[in-house]
Amino acid sequence: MRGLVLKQIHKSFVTEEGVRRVLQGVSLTVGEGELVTLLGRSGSGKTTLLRIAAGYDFPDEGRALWNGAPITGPSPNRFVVVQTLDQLFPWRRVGSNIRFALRTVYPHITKAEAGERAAYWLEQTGLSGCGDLWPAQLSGGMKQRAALARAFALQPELLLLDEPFGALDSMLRRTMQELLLNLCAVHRCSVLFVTHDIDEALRLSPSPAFLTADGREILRLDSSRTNPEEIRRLLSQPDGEVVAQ
Amino acid sequence: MKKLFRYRPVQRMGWICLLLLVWQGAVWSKRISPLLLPGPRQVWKALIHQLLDGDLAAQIGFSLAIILRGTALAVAISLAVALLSLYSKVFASLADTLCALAHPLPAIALLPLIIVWFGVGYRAVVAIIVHSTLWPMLLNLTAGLKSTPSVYVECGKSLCSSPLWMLCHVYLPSSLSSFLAGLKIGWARAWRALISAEMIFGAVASSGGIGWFLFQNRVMMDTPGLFAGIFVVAVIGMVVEELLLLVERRTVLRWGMSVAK
Repeated sequence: MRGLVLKQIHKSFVTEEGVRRVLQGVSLTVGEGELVTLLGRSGSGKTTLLRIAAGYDFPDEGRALWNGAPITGPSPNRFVVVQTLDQLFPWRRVGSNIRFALRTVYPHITKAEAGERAAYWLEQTGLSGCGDLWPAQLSGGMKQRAALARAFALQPELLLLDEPFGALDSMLRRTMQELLLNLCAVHRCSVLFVTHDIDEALRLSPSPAFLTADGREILRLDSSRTNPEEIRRLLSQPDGEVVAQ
Repeated sequence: MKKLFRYRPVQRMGWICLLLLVWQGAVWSKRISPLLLPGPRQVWKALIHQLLDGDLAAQIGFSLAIILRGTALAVAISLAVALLSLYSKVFASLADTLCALAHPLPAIALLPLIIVWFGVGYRAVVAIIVHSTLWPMLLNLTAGLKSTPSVYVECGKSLCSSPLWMLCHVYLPSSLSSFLAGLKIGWARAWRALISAEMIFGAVASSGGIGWFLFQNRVMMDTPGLFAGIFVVAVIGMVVEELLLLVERRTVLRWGMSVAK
């Protein structure tokens, strides 16, 4: 099958207080060209799941497949944008960060092409004219948008986004959401979008996935009954009741 | 005028002029024998004379060439060891132990051993410089490489899986600020060690370096020459430190990655 398949994923971390079980048999699929938003309480393991899809972490049990093949490590095909503000390499100017990423991933691309694509995506993310600045000169929101511009410019098959619009104000959030939806539609790019903002999750996809706080199950909320109030209730309810539904 | 005094070079020049005046005043008061404290003009004359004469210039060249060679060698060794430590934990722990043993050891303490091993020539001086520079550089570089933020490492791995690419485009640029910090300490130590070593070894080959120049002037009781030599040592030390600062300003400070500040 094409797309991302996570099957019966178990993952625990060894901490000073002992073993912390984060994911306990979770399954999730993201089909080709599909946009899946993943909701869940803080600490429920959303980011861990995303990191497994990226190839940064490996499941203790279960299988993580990309286009049918096991995920053995990171790849430019599955590009990640995280919440952290400093993701661009600070030793390159903003434009150079994007051009350099393009020319690394696509060695055949000419300098001029890379420049054009970088300029295009900087403009799309509202950063035209910022290409020659150093990342340290950008504000938090601008850094975040520049990181998105880099990810969009790379046109990966799967975009793994971990609360990528966290640092943006509501207007810019809207713009970025449209941009993302457009990218999905035009380039048939698959997206796994982790967020804890219910409105955002609903705006991006009619049936968000919901990771229970015990990390055991993912509920696909079906579109007919996804009114924000109900999800809000889900997020605040004890998990036993959620599973019972 | 107030604005002008905000610049550090201007402030420095101001203080130096004032100190020169005090010095000249002390000489004019005739309380101190000119043999012990020659006037600024005499020192200036000696400096110009020695520079034009060629002797001092040659000694400066000799000292700088030797220190450059020693530092380059130390940079190469510390890079190699730090990189090996990045990929091998066993090697990292060995390098760590060696650093802990050798770093606090003053170069002068090693002098007798170095004389036994390398004689009293050029090679001995290079060995002393390498010892003075290598350990602080290695400590800083290893720390810098190890503390490369995981966001950059992960992002880099997503872009390219080649370890060499990761090294050139992620690990090394990310640890430049630590590298420069190490280089600064290394330089300061090497410069001190060099001058002392030259004084102890005396003239090796045709030239003895600035340390030897100072020593000779002391023996000949040529105090203006002695002062001129000290002045040159101070100026070279300052110029190199300013150059390193300039490199910092053009790189890590712009990147917002400086260790200090």
